[in-house]
Amino acid sequence: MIKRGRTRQTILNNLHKTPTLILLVISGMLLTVTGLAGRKTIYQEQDYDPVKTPIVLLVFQGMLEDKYPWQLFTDTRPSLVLIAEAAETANDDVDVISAEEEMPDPIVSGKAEMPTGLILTVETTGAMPAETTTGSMQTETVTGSIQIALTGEPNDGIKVPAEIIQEIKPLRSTTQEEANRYISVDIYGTAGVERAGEYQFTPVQEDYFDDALFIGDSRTVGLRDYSSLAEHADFLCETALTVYGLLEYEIGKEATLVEKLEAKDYGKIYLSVGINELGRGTTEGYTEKYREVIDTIRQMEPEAIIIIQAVLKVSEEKSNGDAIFNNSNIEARNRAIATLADNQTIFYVDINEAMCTSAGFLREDITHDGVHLLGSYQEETKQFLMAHGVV
Amino acid sequence: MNFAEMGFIFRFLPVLLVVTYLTPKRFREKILLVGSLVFYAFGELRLMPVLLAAMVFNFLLGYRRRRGLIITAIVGDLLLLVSFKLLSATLGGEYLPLGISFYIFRMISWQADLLNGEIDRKEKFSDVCLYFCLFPQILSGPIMRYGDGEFGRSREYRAEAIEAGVQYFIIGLGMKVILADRLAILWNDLQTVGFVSISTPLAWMGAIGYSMQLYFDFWGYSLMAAGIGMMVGFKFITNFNHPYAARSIGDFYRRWHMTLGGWFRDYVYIPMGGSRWGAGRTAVNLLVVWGLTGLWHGSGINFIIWGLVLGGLIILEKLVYGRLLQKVPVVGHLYVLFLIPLSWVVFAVTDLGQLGVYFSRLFPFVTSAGGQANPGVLSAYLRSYGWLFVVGGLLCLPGLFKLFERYKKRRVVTLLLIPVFWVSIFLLAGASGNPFMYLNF
Repeated sequence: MIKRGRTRQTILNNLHKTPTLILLVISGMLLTVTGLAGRKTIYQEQDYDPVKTPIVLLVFQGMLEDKYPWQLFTDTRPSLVLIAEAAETANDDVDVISAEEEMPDPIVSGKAEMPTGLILTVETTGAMPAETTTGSMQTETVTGSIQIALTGEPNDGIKVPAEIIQEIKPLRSTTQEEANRYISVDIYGTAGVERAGEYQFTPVQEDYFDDALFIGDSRTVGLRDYSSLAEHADFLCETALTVYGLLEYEIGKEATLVEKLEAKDYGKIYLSVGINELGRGTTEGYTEKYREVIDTIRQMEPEAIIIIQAVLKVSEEKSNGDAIFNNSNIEARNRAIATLADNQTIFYVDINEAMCTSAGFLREDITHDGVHLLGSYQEETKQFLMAHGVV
Repeated sequence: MNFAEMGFIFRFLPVLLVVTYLTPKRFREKILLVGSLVFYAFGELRLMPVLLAAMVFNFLLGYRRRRGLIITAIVGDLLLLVSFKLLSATLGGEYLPLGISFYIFRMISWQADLLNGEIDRKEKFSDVCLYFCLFPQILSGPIMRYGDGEFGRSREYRAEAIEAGVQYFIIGLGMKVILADRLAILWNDLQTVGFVSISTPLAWMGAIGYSMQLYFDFWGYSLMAAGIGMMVGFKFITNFNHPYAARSIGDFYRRWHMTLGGWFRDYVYIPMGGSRWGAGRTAVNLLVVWGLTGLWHGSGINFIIWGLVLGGLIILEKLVYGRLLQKVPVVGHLYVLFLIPLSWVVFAVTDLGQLGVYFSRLFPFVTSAGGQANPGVLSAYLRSYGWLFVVGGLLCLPGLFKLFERYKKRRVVTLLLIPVFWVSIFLLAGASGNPFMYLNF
């Protein structure tokens, strides 16, 4: 008893000799309390495994997503969990992906119950140009269900050609389990890439890129830095850029997308994002965000053509060894964004044709990390884009 | 599990410290032994039997202090190390038990110290085992001597030592996470882009950046290890002594990874005769030591070249121009600062063809291959990494660290260290909290 008392006394007497340790513990406790307090509110969307990681991590991960501790006192958003629960009640037999920011329409509204066979819904809201929908479309073995809507009138003052815009609908939706495992699900099949593949591109000269803007992640940074394309085109790119961030912040410490588009009228706008998004959100959410980006560009640059670049695949070693950054996930996302191309003002080009092996892996000899092209092969990207002009 | 990991900082270390200090003194080393084995098991469960068997083998052959048995043990240790190195070189890195290069060297050191009569008391099995697998040192050193561990004596646990340990740990963590891990991105970028495409200034920037990255990674790790050691009652082990302030390559390696250098000196170089038997024999001894040092670091040809080139330079210093370097400090400093980064490039680039390309970028007048990077690239790199070079450069000067040593008990130092710790955790959170979410492409 006496000994224990003495030990306690010793510890207390020595505490003032360890100010760094004490301050560490106190600051750690404060952060833990912050994390605990925000678990149900500002940090509720973050994955957290209490066994593996300390709760202070919530605070730091939150800061990486621009959620700061003081927002604990200002956050008045309704709980996303509640929204998800409400949706679940409304759609008992549909898997609801909880608390996904990029929650796609079909899942929430229960369209996921759509039969998986080929359905061709034709909705006409105006005069239908005869040759487009008949015959070929119906007999094709399109794996996605296609809804064709005709828009005779431009909406929001945007110039939309009075031709057919075909919206390819997903075949199914991502299940909760797939979302939990961060699988990018191929929900569209080949309908989008097949339709986009019908367009005949034209070889062009370098000056074609004089009014072009390239938007993208590190792969576009590589193109800018190690090809001669930057002599002609403008670039707005930074490492780790995602489609989710495109409309949110200043890119490459240079300008926001909107600022860049306001500053100059571009004739061609190339988009190349998608690798960093793997493991984030679902194919539905990703596609929806991509659509929103395209809509925004379209509003600001009504005359420009928009070229969606396929996400460059990764090498065999990378693909086989990575649960997230693999070609199956990339392919799913590529098939999804290909559905956004209408072959009139929006096009889809697939660089993988030039850079991959016959088995569909990025060639090992042109990459070091299995993800990026070596600088000396960026000129090939340029050549590929020159072979795929829209005139 | 390494020291710069959430699981270690927030789970393993605090639990071990609390349990250790709640246990009566006489049981604390047993707790440390169990803790060390648990720590090792987290990192390497599969090949843990190799460690356990080597521990038992060494104790059984060593503790009677019979010359023949000790020499058998040392030969056995070397065979074990060489076989696993060969196995991993042919079949792949997964066949190399974690930390084997370090724990075998500690085992040999124990045997040799027994042989030389440097260990005066009879030691217990558990003490020797703790020495072999002490968790702050098992993965990457420092290669402490058995005598420095003061095993089996009544260990002093002082609040001041814990405090100093915490401070060293934070500084080491900061060096690794804030400096080394950021600088690593630069080197990684250069590899990603391909050495063919980098300009000469960028190649030099890469070489200097890599030199700093390696330094802060390893010095940071060593400070963390020493700091943790102090928290559990051990003495501070000095592994680095401002190597970039050295005036010769020989001087550099008396300051860099000092416990490894000391190991080769005491157990290879001196037993071979050191510098006692004339210039020719000294040169041979040095080449053997440095060839082995190269091999110890890795099995690639580049490591042997690296070791032999350093050995060659040290021989030249000993026999030809060493005095000049000492007499004219400026020449000595420039000589070190020019050659060491080049030697690190040899160390870093395992593919000889690529090594040639890198040197052709460093010295473009040798070959005519032109860099293809656009002019903006260099300034972009300078903008991104300039501050790391400035901070890193300042930390390479001995003065800054001496300032810390002098004022470390002041409150202001404590107040500066707390943010260093949390900034490091913040950066780690980005890297490890959700690995696939924050990988940057």
